[in-house]
Amino acid sequence: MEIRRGIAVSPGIVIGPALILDNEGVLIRARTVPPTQIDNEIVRLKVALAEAAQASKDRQKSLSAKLGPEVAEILGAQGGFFDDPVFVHSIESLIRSKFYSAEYAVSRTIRALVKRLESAADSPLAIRYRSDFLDLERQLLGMLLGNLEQGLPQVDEPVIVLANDLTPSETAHFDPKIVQAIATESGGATSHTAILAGALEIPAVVGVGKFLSDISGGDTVIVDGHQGWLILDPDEATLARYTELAQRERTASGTFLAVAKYVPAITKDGVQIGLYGNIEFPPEARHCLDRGADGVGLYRTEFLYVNKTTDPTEEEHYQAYAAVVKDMGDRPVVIRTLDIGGDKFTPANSPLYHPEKNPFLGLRSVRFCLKNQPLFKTQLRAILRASIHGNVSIMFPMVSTVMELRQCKSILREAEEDLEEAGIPYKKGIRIGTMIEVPSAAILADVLAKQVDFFSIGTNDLVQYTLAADRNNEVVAELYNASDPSVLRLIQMVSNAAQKAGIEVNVCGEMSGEPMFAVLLIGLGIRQLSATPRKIPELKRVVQSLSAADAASVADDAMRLETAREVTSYLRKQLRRIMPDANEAP
Amino acid sequence: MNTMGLIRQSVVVGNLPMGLHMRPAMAFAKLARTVQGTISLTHGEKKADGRSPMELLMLFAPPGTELILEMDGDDADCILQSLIDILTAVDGADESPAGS
Repeated sequence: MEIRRGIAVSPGIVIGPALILDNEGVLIRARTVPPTQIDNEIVRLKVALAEAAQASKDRQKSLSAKLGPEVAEILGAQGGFFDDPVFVHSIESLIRSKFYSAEYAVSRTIRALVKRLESAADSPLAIRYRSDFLDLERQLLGMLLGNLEQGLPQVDEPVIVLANDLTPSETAHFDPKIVQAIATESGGATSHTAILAGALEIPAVVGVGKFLSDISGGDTVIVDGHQGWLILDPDEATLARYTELAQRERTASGTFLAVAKYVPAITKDGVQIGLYGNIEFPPEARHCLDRGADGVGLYRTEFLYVNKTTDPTEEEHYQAYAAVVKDMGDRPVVIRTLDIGGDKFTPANSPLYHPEKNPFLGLRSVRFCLKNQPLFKTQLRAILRASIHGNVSIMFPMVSTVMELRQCKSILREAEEDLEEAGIPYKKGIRIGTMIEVPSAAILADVLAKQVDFFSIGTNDLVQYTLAADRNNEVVAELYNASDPSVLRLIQMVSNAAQKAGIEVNVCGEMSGEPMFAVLLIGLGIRQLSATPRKIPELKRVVQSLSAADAASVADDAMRLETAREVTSYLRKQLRRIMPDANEAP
Repeated sequence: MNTMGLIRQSVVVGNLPMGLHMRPAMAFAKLARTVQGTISLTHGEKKADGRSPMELLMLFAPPGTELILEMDGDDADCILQSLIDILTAVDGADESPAGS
């Protein structure tokens, strides 16, 4: 048994069989099959060989026209191996004598051939063929396992996916019912895969370091998404302990959720706090409902653009938004317009790619949209169209000046007029809000408050811009601290401006999901928090454990402190007093 | 009708500069499969089944290598010369260098 330590990025405990995705996206499933399956595996092999041979012939034909007959012949020549009697027989005998799965038998046979090539290294022929043979392996495994383009092929039983790394688009396609946990060799806490795993609520551990060569597909592994452990080949005692822990987790969250869902978040002195969910994908709307959220406080729309080479169509936008709005019924859904740029991934071949020296201070978000109005309008139209299905509000990210806000509103009006003219229905009087995440917007909050229906404080970026520190840059990351008094003062400023103007304000950054900050925010007058759905039940408990008056005096005292460290320590103490069994932030 | 019984012949590989590489190996195997009986090529200690392009490749036979071709079966003599031609061809319309 080995315990490998990585970074916990999505909590939960899962015990299950490994499904290994190697670097080239080639799947190695179980190594062996039960004896009764042998004939089936031989049939699978034969079919795959025939299909691969045919594909090779087709490829040769189509490439002959493009690249000329000689080159095409090379590729076609590969196809000749698929009916090589000796080659095929070697694979078959591994299946029959060692009960290997077809995939494993193919892989073993080819790897053995490659080894023979390596031992004849002095022959120039030998070197040439290595990649040809590996290509054969890939082609055959591809046929055996179906289309490997996106996500997993036909996998029926729940698995734990293990890989060196996973691309966001691969992860986004995972079905949490099948992929019960993830562990990767590379990756960090803020990588997109980590965020996606968290969003999909799939327990995940990343950055474990090399471990793939130490396991085989089908091995039992344990993913501990709390401690950040990947346990290989667990011994009986560990297996028993974790089985119990997993069981307890399932029951606990089950009971908790069943109750929490229906009880509103009201403080001891009768103040109601709205708890909303932050989502990225349409299916997460269900998570919000399951957790008893009052609505979606932040619908991030970037995934529609990430990893694509063409812009999403208005219809694609509309389908995604409509799905969420319909799921949420009459609960509010706040849709944020494109916030791409900075560390959000845009592939270099995308027309949106614009290399900058200082992307966080560059053409991001609403600035990008204002310079790409057709793109902006497409999204706005889709949001307006989706508004007929429910209670939709629209929000603009990274607004840094009053002019920008006015321009956004003007373009929104144009979009409304366009729809009007085309006779396409939309709900009139859609609520318009702005994110407050750039210090300039916080400082001018009183002016902006007169021009919108609500504010949403994006604390992640607000902290970054206020302290001028990149949270992903390890050498300065410690400066990035939500507890810093400067940030708290800005939040207070925004909250006061909203109250004075009579508009709503919510906090949608990570801060709002942390119990100790929730206390502070409520004390500063915030009455709506939007967090990742998973956190909502706990936030509800926090709200129910405190009185707003008490929270206000906690906030008063906290605002007098001078350093982030003092604030953190003070808030932790207060949280412990208010809710002795709270989960504390790390 | 093969009146010669077992055919055993020495063949010197041509196909400059690569020798018995993928193309001739494939061609050889393809032709070999059109007849009954065994066909083998031996290089020193290694004996390859003539119907397996994989085994033929694994002989790693550069130009100038002497291979022993053995055949039996009724139709062997029909294709014998063609097989030899494949192995010894001087005119090698070759693949691009340095593999893909």
